Amino acid sequence: MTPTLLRLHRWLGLATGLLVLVAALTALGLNHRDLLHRFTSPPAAARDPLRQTIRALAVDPTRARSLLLGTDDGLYRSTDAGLHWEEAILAVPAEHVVAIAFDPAVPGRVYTALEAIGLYRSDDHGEIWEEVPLPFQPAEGTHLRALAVAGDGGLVLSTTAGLLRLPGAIARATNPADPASWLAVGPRQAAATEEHPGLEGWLYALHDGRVWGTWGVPVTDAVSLALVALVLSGYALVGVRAFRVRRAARRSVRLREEVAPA
Amino acid sequence: MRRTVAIAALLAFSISSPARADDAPSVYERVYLTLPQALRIALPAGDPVEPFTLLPSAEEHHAIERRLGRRVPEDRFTVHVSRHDGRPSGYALVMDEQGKYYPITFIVGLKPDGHVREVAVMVYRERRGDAVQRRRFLDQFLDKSADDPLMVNRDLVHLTGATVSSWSIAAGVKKATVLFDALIRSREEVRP
Repeated sequence: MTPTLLRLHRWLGLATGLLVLVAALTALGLNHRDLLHRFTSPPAAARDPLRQTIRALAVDPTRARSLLLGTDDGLYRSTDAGLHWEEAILAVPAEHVVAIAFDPAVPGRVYTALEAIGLYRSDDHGEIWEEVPLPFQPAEGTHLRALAVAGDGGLVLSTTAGLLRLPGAIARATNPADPASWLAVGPRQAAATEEHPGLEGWLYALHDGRVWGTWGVPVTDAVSLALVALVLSGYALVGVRAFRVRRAARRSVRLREEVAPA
Repeated sequence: MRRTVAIAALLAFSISSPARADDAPSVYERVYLTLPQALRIALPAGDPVEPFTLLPSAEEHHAIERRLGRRVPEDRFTVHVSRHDGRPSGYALVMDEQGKYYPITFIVGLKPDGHVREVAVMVYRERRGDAVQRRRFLDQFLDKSADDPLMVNRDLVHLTGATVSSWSIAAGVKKATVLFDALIRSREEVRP
């Protein structure tokens, strides 16, 4: 092998090692997102709702100064026309709010749709919330997209699997509706679910090892850690070798300089 | 060559096999702790334990719902109190919170000042997500009180693969601390 080819081989090896390192570390990151959150969650002080990406905003039709605001990070309530905001507490993290809709005929009744969590209803202007059962589990992959309330109190919910409608008479009942009361509007689309995650989901699952089932995660972790160790030890060996070569070269230069005057 | 074909076949089978066939929501009850075992964990060792019932008034009930931001269907709550030299040394509440499909039963042990002393899963009823019984998750609740948000992605980190169960446990611990704050702390004397 010529020295040029050897040098090219070494640089390609270093670049490939970097790629393997990135792949292994991102797989570990995907498998342990909860640990990543410890370092990436913004502090409470940074949670000014108006500085976040606002996804939904609604005015209470019976209280003109009462507003509800939905962001990617939470659901917020204001009673002074938006001067001050307080976080609305739900039993679940009110994240990725995609819609807020008041029932125009029932004072205080408001709905909020959380993209990957579900649909919630309050009968007291947004203080106490209860889940409205849906005919699917949003956590399984079918997500909520938008929500509208009809004049008769009926709900129209847009999801990644198609439109759903809840008749007014059922939506206006005291207790949240039975999941079977929702009616599909038009053909149901195939949504990504855990059973059918779609190509993107499948690629993710392949990357983090979940495609192999629950035991795929620890196996992927072990392989990723082994790859990280291999790459880092490889880099260390290359570094040590380069250091030794340089030291030997320096020594030979010094010897040559010592021998030369003699 | 034969070995390569065998490995390739095994890989292909693993990818195409129904790795998520166990997702069907069938009840898969697993009891980790009975009530006496859970009480031994949640309350100080050696102290006598006795149960008592809390009956909140309509106003108290509504105040609890407002603090939790959700409906509380129960109108009475059983609390186990341990006593040392006649004074309460700890409280324990058994909570049932809806998981992804079925309820999760767990115990929340509280110190006399209302801070969380212990959380332990008693019964888990689904095949997936039972990682919430791991200390790595449950230890996050220790020493928190009703004044803390006790919310995932605020002061708690959920477990990957057990997201809904993490929310449920967080909601239950919050409820236990708020019940203590609203019903036990406010009563000057707690008697069975």
